[in-house]
Amino acid sequence: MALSLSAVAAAQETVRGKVQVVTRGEGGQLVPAPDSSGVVVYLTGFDQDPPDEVPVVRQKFKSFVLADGRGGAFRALPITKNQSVDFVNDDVELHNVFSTSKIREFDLGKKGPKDREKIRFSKMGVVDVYCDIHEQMQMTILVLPNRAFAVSGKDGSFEIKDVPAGMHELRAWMRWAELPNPVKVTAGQAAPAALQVVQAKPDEQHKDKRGQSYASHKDAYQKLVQPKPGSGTP
Amino acid sequence: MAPRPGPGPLVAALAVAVALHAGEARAGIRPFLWTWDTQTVPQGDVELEQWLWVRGKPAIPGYSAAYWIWWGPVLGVTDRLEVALPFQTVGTSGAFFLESFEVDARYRIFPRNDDGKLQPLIRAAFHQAIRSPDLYSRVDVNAVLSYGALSELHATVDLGVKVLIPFLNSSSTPAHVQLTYAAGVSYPFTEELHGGLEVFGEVAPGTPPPSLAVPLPHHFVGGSVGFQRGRIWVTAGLLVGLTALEPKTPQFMPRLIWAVAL
Repeated sequence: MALSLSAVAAAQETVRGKVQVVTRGEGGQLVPAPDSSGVVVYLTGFDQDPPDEVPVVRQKFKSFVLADGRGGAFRALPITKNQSVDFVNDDVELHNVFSTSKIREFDLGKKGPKDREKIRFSKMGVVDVYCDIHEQMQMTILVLPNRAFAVSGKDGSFEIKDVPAGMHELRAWMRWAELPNPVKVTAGQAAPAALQVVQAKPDEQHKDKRGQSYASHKDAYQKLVQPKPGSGTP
Repeated sequence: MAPRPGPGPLVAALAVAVALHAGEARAGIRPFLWTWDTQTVPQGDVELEQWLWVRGKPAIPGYSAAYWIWWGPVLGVTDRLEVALPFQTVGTSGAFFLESFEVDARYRIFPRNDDGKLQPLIRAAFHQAIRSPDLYSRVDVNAVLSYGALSELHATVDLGVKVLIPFLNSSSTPAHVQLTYAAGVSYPFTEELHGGLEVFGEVAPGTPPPSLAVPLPHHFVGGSVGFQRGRIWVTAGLLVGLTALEPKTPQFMPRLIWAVAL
């Protein structure tokens, strides 16, 4: 899989563009993916204070769900440095949200339905977030230096508003993708660019909060659908 | 709002690279031997914790060394509160007995996931003596303040009060107050290994009752090493009595603390 990005600094304080997600076919050729949504596009080179709003990440149906309904391991939540995220258990069972990232190590413990807790992220970087009870639950928080970011739509289009005047570097990020080279853009100037990045095969394997395999504490559903080797029937 | 000059792409790339090297979440590990710290067990988690320690013989007649075992579960009740329910046994050269039960609560002023450098904690414990050598039950209250995460240089100060009371005890001896002080610094050598230095002391304002098992005051300095992997953590070390400062102080006080998360 690869990313193709073109961007135009269209009007003052706005950067528009389009990201194309492509996959690598069996012969190695690049094939456009049917859905280019979920790519985080952001500008670097300057710092801004975080907005007042606190993004909400719900745990629903054993998945992390973002405010716009997006979910799944490929999805990332971009935030600004020093911004908080509100983790809400909107499920009917316990969850244990945690991260072992050095950017922000945390462990919310076992939270029941409707429990919530806010976590502040004060360092920039990538924070992979998991559930210690449900191995399949995973998401990524991208802590960025400013508020100049956007998430691409299904057709790959994006628009970054309120961009300070001047030249900036435009970057794109998607989980399990090699990062594309940055593109120089200037607010108010047309500067189309195109980037391609070959993405590695998704690797959803990860350890629990103590750095161990989930095999010793699979949740009841997983035990039900994953029979012991040799048992024959699912 | 006007933008500020940013760290540039190199720093951003470094931040991403650092993020990919994940560490392990630290649970309720105690980085010190006698200094209470602000680390607590996550909500809903349970750890079985055990202390093995020795209070060495003071260099004065009439007192002997005592060997202690502290054992019990530590429960993460909320993201601020953990409660331990241990019992203790004591062995001496001539006896071995169940010494006490305890209810030991530690309450963080800020949630355990708060990323502030300064973290205060209040500890309150009731120690019900069963066959105490000093014939006292006890209420402990400690005020603890730490600075820095365990993944960096970490410092803690712990000031406490022990109120010894003849509760549920046939002794007619009056209540008695002791004060404790402790402070420590720890440093992570690796993800799994850390070292610590600490001071610890106990003083008794006024005239302590003669029935106390050990004479006060005590003053100690010492160090410890801690190791953590998976569900287990261990902290072990030795305090050395400052007998030149106070001859009543036992010469040595080693302690081994280990826990396993259930």
